[in-house]
Amino acid sequence: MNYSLWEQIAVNLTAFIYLTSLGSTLAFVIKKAPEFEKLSRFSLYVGLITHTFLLVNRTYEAGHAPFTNLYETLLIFSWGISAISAYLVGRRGYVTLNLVATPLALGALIYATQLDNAIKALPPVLHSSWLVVHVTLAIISYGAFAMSGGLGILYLGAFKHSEDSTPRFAYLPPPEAIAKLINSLISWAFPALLLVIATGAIWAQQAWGAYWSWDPKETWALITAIVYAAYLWLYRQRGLSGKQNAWFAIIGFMVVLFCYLGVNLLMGGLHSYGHN
Amino acid sequence: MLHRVARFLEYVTPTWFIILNLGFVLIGLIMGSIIPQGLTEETYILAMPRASAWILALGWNDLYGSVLFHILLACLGLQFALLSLKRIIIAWTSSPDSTSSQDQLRLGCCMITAYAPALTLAGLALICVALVISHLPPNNTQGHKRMLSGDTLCLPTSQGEIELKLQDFTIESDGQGHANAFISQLQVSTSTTSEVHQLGVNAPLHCQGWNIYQSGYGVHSFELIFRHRGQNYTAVISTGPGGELTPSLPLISVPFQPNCRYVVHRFYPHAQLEGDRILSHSTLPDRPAALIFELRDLPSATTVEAAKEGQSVSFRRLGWLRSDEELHDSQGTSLKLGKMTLFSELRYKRDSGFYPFVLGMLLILAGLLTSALKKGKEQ
Repeated sequence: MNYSLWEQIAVNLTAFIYLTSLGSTLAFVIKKAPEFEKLSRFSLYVGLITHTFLLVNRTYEAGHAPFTNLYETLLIFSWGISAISAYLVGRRGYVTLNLVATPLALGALIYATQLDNAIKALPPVLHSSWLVVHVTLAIISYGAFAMSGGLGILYLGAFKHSEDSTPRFAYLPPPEAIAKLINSLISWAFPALLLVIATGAIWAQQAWGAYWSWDPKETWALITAIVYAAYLWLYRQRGLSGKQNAWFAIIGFMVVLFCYLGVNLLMGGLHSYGHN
Repeated sequence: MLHRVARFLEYVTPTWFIILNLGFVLIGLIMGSIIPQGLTEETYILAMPRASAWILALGWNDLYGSVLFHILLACLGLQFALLSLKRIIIAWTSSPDSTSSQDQLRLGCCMITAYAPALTLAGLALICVALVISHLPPNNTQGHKRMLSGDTLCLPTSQGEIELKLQDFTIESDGQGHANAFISQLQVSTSTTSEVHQLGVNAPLHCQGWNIYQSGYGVHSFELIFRHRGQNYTAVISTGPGGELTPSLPLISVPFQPNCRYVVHRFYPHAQLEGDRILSHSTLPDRPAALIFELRDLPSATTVEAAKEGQSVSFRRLGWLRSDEELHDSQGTSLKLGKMTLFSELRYKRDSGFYPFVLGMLLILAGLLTSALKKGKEQ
């Protein structure tokens, strides 16, 4: 069996495990069946292990970190979301966070299956020790922003927003906890995004001769940073209601999504090697 | 006195004005990323026939290089700097007397965290300044040059000038039709020294106030060798950076075939051909292929366009010519591809020796980390 086919099977298997996790979480929440909680948690961890193995194996086969094209970054982006989700599920105990993480991870994996998965050599500009630092930080921040956006949707969709904030479904975390989680995720992801910009700028100076070239990717990373800086400023200085918090997280995630996918697909520029 | 300064700073840096300024910058960023920047006027007219008049009139074709955008950035930088100053004064005047405290370490932490917003704002101010000054002379002194082996590039310095001579240019293939690395071997000569350096992507050369970067490469020209009854003739055809031919296709005449012209209709430095179909091509110059046409009875025309206008011409497609093959025309002339000449593109930029961008980023991160420390202590 050739590597490409093997990997296709592994990606589909990982997607199936995440789907199991999502299905059992839905059964847990909608049917109010606590026996599905363990399955949901277990399948998320198994999915994450399979996903990690997939990435490690690809790194071994390619001889470099899997950050060279859209297919690879989608694999690692979905891994980032699952890893953050697994951490939060393990630490906070809210297995219902799977309702947010698994659809995002699944979406990214399904999109990845539509792309060419052939291993390609690193373009000369990516032969740099900054690659791992820059892209890893980007994946951490994008993953956390994606989770916060998903939690924003969960917040708006799952609560009646009456005075008692009764959830529409069972076992959901209280709305205040979700709002706090959104803020925590953004508060951690924002410095990571700034580090992405800083490391990218230093690398750009080495490779292209300028810290800042107003490349579409750079510009949209700056726009993303401004949007989240505005959110953090408003949250700290003025205070935001839970609903405003959720809307900000969703809008921010839309901007992140455009910066990650929209720029590569529609605009090109110096970062165009990121597109298959 | 400090309170008066703080009040004055409060007066000159209203929040709404900063938000307004930031809003304009944000609009500029979005517009600049949607509208392709720095293209020729003709490109805008062709690509966006309706919007091009507005784009060109408003100067949105070079938005990030416009004076207005830099004024906005400079204003923003000034506002951030003043806000930072205000925060420093507030932190300074509100810090308690250290001698009256029991817990010196705790007091020290409080004092450091009080300056966190000032650090972040100073960082933002520095980044705005960095973006503006990168467009001012001498920092904007830059250029690029396509160099063939043996070509030289002279750059002025305070001690005379430095001469960069391209000795050799090599490309490492990844085996799949793409470049794995490309390296220029440069002889760098100053008034006193002469050294050989290797220049590659991500490995720039810093020399006497100049930074030199390896920015690209391409095919400068290729040879087409004609052979007819023991006679040889070599035509040199120039190409664009990606190996493309000029828009006006030149007709090639050979001395031993006075009424015959040839035209290279397509050229790829790296082409994977399946029959007459191109499966893939890249700029890696290791598998060249050229599509050749033959024209007969054309005494005067020099380009295909002129030939088409002047008289009815019958083109005969000779086919794809690959590096390891020969083509034959109707008169028995054989055609073969000769050697390709590559150019190495170097980018040179004045090194200001001042890095406000990185310093600004570090200050922002220091500010955020210090804020996190404060938040952690509060919790």
